[in-house]
Amino acid sequence: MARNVTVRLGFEGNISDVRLVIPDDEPTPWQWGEPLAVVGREMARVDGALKATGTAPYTYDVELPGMLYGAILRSPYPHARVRSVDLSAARRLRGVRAAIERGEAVVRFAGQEVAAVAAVSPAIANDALALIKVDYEPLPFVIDMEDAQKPSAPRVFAGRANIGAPAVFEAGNVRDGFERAAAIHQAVYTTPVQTHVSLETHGAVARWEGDQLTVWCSTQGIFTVRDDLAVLFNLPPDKVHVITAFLGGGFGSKFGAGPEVVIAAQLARAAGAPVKLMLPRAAEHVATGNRPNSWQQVKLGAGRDGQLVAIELLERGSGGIGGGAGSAGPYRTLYRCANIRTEERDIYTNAGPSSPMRAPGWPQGCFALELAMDELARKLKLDRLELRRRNNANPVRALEFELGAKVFNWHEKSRAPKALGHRRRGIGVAAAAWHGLGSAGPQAQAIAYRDGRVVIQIGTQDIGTGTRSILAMVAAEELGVPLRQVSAEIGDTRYLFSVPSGGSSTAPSNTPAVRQAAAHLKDKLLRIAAPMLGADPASLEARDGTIRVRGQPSRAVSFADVCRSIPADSLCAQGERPPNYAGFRTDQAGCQFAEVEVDVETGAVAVLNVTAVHDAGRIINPLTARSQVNGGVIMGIGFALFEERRLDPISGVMVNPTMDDYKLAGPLDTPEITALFVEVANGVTNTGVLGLGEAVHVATAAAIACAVYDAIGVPVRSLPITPDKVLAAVGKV
Amino acid sequence: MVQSTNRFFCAMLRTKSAYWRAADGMRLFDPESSTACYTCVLTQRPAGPDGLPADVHNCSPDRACFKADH
Repeated sequence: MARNVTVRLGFEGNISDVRLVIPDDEPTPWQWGEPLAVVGREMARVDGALKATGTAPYTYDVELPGMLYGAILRSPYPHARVRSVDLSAARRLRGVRAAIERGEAVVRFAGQEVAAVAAVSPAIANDALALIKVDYEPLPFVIDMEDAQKPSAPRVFAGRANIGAPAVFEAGNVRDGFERAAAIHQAVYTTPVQTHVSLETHGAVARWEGDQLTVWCSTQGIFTVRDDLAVLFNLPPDKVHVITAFLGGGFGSKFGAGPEVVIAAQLARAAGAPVKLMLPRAAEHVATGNRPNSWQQVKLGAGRDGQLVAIELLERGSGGIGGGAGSAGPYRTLYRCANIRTEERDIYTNAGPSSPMRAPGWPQGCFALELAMDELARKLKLDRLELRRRNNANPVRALEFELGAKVFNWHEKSRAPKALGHRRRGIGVAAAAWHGLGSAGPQAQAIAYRDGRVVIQIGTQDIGTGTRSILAMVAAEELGVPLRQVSAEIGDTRYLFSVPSGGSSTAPSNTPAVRQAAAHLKDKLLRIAAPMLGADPASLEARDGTIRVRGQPSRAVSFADVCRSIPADSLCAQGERPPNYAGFRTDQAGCQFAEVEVDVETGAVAVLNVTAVHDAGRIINPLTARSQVNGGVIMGIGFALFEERRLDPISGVMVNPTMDDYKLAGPLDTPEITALFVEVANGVTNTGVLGLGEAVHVATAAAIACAVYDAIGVPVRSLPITPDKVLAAVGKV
Repeated sequence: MVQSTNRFFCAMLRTKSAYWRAADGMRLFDPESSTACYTCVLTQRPAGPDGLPADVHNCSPDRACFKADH
């Protein structure tokens, strides 16, 4: 059954009544201006103390009686035939309990798994790896994307071309568009391979009890790991139990059961004992996935008024032995243009595989498109922000440009002197878009106990963004109780199903299920309270820790007293997350402003401040929302200035697989970050929450690159913007 | 996203979107995506057990390792 509701939706200055059809048992979506008691207030994370004191149990911390330690032997060759693997000497080593081989006939990147052992200590496991004899037949390899496209290049996959089929998008006619253009800009932009560097490395602890497999796993998807393992070990899903109490980051690389998880389970079964296998840092860089590199030939055409008349992208990218290296999303989305053509091709190389990474394809595409926009603006003699405004079709982003420019002092900084001795200051702006709407699927359970506690259970996981906190806040809001009375239990496949934490979907997918479960629980509690108040349940509301007659606050009974009347130990209700409603808008706009200082003697770039303006729908907890902005911006600084996988051209081996040599942005590189949210009541779900994790990362590197261009007057079209590139740009080397 | 039935895709093929399901219960594949990274669950890598690429375009019924997703 469904019902019609009319709700006030929109954003400041653009509010309208929107009619929605929602399930009969679904709470009415929160609307514009709705007064909320818990949601929208800054709340410290409910598990913050556990994390700050180091007592939050991550997979890395799991210790079991009789547990063994696993280690993986990896190929030193980027391409080789594996003629034989001799495990006998490793098996004879004292303390070794199991040794297995992967059984791959050919390895295609340096670092690919070949064999593994489990031993009573990590040291013995590593000693055992040295005793494994592998007879390799090295094969010709190619690691450079340009080389891989040559007809004579070694084939990464026998019998298959290294160049993938083109993915072509066309709207209008770009040739006609360029013919009408008053100004055209064309250039090539490149971005490097960025490796995954989650603070907690990939890994798992696996334990078999008969045919029951329990896995503590560092994963973004407990149910996806469960299902993958069930397939691999031919088990029904209920025979696989996956637990992720806390997760030290994933960024897209930890969805299913990766090799290290499968190997841990294989070793545990072979050894008849639990096995812990957490990857060392070097393996994390080499083998757990990466953001592919890109070569982007960009051509933009505009009229004298700055209106874009044609956008063309020719793109190549390599995800090593994997694909998914496209970056055309921003070209098709960010700006209004009638004539757009994009062509993307994956190039195979003998290097570690790609995997999803925070807004796949978008930071690369945004960097090239936005720096090209700045170069076009210079040809048109237009202010760069004004050029973007003229081509922006999104009313939310129009407000964001206005708000951001004001807070960032765009116009004042535009007029400020750029040179300060050997330092140059510059500013940049870049647009962002995403689609963190979430999806149907999650199911939640809400339980009220006789002592007044409320527990929310749902099989999601916290990727590090404060999921427990926002779920508890939503339930507290719906039940009208203080946050301290509510806790959220997650990270266990024994709870009801939820989707993986990816695609910025955790908050928008799970909060509606939790709100519905809490609403159903509230209905049950209202029915208990009704006779206590001599009122009809339909006339009651739950607010301020009481259940009371609507409009008569004095006719109330405390939530705790109602719970004491539960005719059992507890009262529970379930909720599920319906599909998205049409709502007000289903897109997600953002923009970021950056100011940099460039030392033209050393080439060093320092980011001074970033103003990030984003639409996150309904903000549940501004504190954790700001934390997500901070994280996205800091990661974007790393992409802009530091991060790059380097492969040795002779051996094909990664030469910087450490956090010393693969530089991330650290505290000294972190600028002042101002997070601004344009709250949009979107009505897409009952909470209206949008995911933030990826949206806040898309534009950072682009804004920084534009700021560097503004500072030195020369575009650096290749990320990372390292000192040598800056010095070359200003003619110092 | 193009919501495409997975009837023609191998049951062992994995990609991020396919960990979600459409309203009809089918896994979500988007053959037009240029950013989708694929793996084979049997190898946990972007190649199947036969050593050929594992992705939505290559994992077809003519491969010996193909398993129908019914």
